[in-house]
Amino acid sequence: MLRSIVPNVVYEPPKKFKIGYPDDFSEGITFLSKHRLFVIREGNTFWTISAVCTHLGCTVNLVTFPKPKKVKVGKKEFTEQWEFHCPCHGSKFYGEGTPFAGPAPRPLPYYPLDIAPDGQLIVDTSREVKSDFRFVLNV
Amino acid sequence: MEKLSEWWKKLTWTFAPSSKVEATKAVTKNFILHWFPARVTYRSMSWSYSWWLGTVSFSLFLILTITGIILMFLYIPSVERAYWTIKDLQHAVSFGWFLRNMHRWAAHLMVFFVTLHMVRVFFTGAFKNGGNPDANRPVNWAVGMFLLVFTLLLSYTGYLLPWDQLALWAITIGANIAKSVPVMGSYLHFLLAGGTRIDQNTLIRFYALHVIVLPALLLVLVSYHMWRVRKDGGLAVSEQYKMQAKKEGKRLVPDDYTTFAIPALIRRAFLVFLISLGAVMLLSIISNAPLEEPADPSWTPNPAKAPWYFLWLQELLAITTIRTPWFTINGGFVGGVVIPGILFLWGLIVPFIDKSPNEATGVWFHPSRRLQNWTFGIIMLILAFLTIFAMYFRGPSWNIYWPWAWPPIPHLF
Amino acid sequence: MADNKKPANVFEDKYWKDSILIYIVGIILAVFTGIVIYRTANPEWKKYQREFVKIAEKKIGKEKVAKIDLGIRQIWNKELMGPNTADRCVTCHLGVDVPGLEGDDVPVVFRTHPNPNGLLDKHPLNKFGCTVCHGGLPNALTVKEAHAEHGVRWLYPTYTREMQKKYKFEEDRLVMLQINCNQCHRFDKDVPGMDYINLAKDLVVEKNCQSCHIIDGYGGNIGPNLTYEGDKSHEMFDIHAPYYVIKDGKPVESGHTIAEEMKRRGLPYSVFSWHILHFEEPRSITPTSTMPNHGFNKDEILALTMLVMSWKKVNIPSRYLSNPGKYQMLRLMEEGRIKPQKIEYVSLASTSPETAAETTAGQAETAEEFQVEETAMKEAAESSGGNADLAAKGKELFGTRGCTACHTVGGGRLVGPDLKGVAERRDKQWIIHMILNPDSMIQNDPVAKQLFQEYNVPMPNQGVTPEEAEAIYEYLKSASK
Repeated sequence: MLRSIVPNVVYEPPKKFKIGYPDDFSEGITFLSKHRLFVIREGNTFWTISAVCTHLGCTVNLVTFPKPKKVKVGKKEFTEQWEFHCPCHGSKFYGEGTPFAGPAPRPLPYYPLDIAPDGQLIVDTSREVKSDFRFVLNV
Repeated sequence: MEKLSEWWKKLTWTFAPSSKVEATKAVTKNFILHWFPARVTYRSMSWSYSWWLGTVSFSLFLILTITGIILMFLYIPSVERAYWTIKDLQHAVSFGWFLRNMHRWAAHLMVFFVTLHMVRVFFTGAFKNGGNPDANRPVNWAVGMFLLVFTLLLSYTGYLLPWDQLALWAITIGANIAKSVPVMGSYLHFLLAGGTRIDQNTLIRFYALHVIVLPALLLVLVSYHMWRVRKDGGLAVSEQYKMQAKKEGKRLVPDDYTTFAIPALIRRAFLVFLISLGAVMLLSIISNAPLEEPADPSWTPNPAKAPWYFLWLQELLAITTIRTPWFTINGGFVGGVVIPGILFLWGLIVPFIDKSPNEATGVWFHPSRRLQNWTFGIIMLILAFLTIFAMYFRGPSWNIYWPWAWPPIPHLF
Repeated sequence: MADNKKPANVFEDKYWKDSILIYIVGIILAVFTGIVIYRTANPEWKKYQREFVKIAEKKIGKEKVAKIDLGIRQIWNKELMGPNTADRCVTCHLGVDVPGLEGDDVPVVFRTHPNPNGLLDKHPLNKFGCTVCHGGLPNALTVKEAHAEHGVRWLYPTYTREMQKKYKFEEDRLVMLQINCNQCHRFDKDVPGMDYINLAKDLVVEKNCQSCHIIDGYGGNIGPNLTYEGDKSHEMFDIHAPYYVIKDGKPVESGHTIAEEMKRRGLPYSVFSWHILHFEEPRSITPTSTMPNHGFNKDEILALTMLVMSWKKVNIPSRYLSNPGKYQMLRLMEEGRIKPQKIEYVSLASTSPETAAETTAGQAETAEEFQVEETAMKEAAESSGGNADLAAKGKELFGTRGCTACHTVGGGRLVGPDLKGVAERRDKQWIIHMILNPDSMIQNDPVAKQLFQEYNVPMPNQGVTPEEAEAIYEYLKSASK
């Protein structure tokens, strides 16, 4: 009888959803507050990073730098124009998602992007992809 | 004159038994009174021994139940309506402000006093049997530990109901602590949240837990807890009489060391209840229960702090992420599950590993229990320190600031 | 009984003092109960109501005042506010719908609601309530909570004169609430009573903000999408970032933060203040911004800030919206059912339901129609033999493609150089390349590089097509004569 309180159906929005046309996104990083998602554009290359902190689920804040910063992640070095700071317990993530301060254990997940038949970008938050995932528009 | 003294007697009527026989029989004459023993020892009546903390805790539970039942008529557990029903309670419901304040203050005080009660019982070694072959106080201590957890859970499920920002993010974090448990984590999260997101299903689950499941469990355990006290022959300090008598080779006569529970015990218990009620009323009059903005998942309040009795936990899970070159363990698991779990388990077995002599039963800071008392006291102090640190020294973004130097957070206007 | 030996059955009450204590505590509890009852029976609003009756009776007479209902009063419009809350402002603001209580001798709280330009006839109080225009916490019954003053956890406080003073408005009327007007009047222009918003909307057209920003679902992508800028949470604005000052045309760290700059100017720590600073000089907030300093004056800055804060997603039934068809267009654009296109604002005076429908219908609503239009445009461009035609088209594009944001032709230097006579200074290929690929030109072309050093603002790539670049060149050539 207790099995009855394990939900079989839920009323929730779908995990795969459209986020707008590629041309609607300015160069750089955009925050979609409704979906708790960051979309980054570099020319015709797009990728998304989740804004949900991997420690305990708060929404991280975007912190941008006027001058790009050089950081080292593992063996790779790269320059970043922004970071993510979580207000709840002080976790801090590099622009590419790796945590470098605070209690967050894992990097911010990336979600795959694709183009829907009507031309809009579509994100699939039901599965994660590696941090080198990039979606390139066929123009 | 005769008439006057007659009236005076009628007005100042009080149930004072007129004879010992009447006092003894009283416990059988009344449903509520049968809860009490016929006699009670002088030492257990002492204010300074127990501080009557258990009675205070139960009084607060009664206040919570009564205010809670009334509040059930006035609160709607729907994500669209919950916040507004609380707002109406604050403003438009007669005595609504008072009911809500009473409920909240009683809840905070209950957490505080059950903790103090636990501390008292530990420091007086009152979980020991003191040589009484019929007693099983260690079991009662274990029951008490569960009661503490249930009290905390009741508080937790309670402050989720207004569905304001504090509620939403507290649930998000709590559910994610459950998620951090290896293997079962995602399933636990799914069960708690009633889905994959914190939404209406979550609210109704916590509502059901808060208004019936947890109170019923608590009531059953409290009843057992008090029944056990009676079965064990009263408070632990009562064992001292027998030990003393044995040492002095005397015989124990009831009148020497006990008095009648009716009226002594019930009167003092009633007094304690009134004082508790007075304290809750005073606090409710001078301080209002807070309410944050309506729940909004797109932004997290900064800083986002748990109520004081969970601040030690919040501080722990922010600082206990373990990073090694091979793996990382989420602080949510270490500080949120492992450390509290260890504390709880240690708390459960404490009476079974306490090897102090019977003489230490029911005595404050008995020298034979120095090690135990110091250990326990230091753990409590560490938790208190973490609480105070997280309360005053953690500011926006959980950074460390002096309490008077927190940087401002902008409003919209 | 004076025996030494006590009779066996005598009951001795050792704890009789407890009884006294109970009486004492009981009295204290009775006092507390009295306080609780008193406070419940005398809420703050009753004081206001008594005050109102006194003042109103003096002004309009006992008979009229007797007809006014007292007690908790509310305006409830399920469609507008939802089933869960109602506007209780009228519990204290008892005079809003009572004629005869105008004038300075009546305290503001009790005054008749002003009716400028027939505002109340179009927005009857008992239908619209109060908070939809004035902001605040609808169902609260204390001043502090209803007005959502600082300290109350509610994001949308009432717009008060105190607030306006803080932002240095030099107005005695309540103008900040035009922010809320724009929720329903977003696609209207020249609305009577919305002078600040009207000014801001004109500026948006004049300065061509849509060339760099998506506004109302359409525009460039140089800067962020501003369609719902008013919905951005305060958490997204970092006021502890450094504040920059412009020295010799370049942004330089001032040594203090944006928050400290707000404090120095006496501005509140708010998103509203952030926008004020940003409109004044974008590079003071983001030193690498390419947004030009348009030299707005104080009123223009306040107006633009108000406009930008008013751009929110509204949950209002379409019956209440002015020009609901335009809101529908915005929604269709977001859902991808029609191509992004510019939504024209309509002058409110001319809006009858018929004209509204016409103007909406006049704009391409379906993808097919839009495609047809585009093809037609292309064909026209290709077939246009006359350079005069091309130049005219180029002049139009010079405006709509955003060039006027930074360049004039004969109007002097702006963010970028004055382009009068440019066709004589540079050859056609160079100009076309600058229009089509300014970003790569700045990296690789020596002349472009030098210009960048001089002007210090990179020319953004506006996504111009080759045909359009031809037309613009023709215009620039013709304007050089």
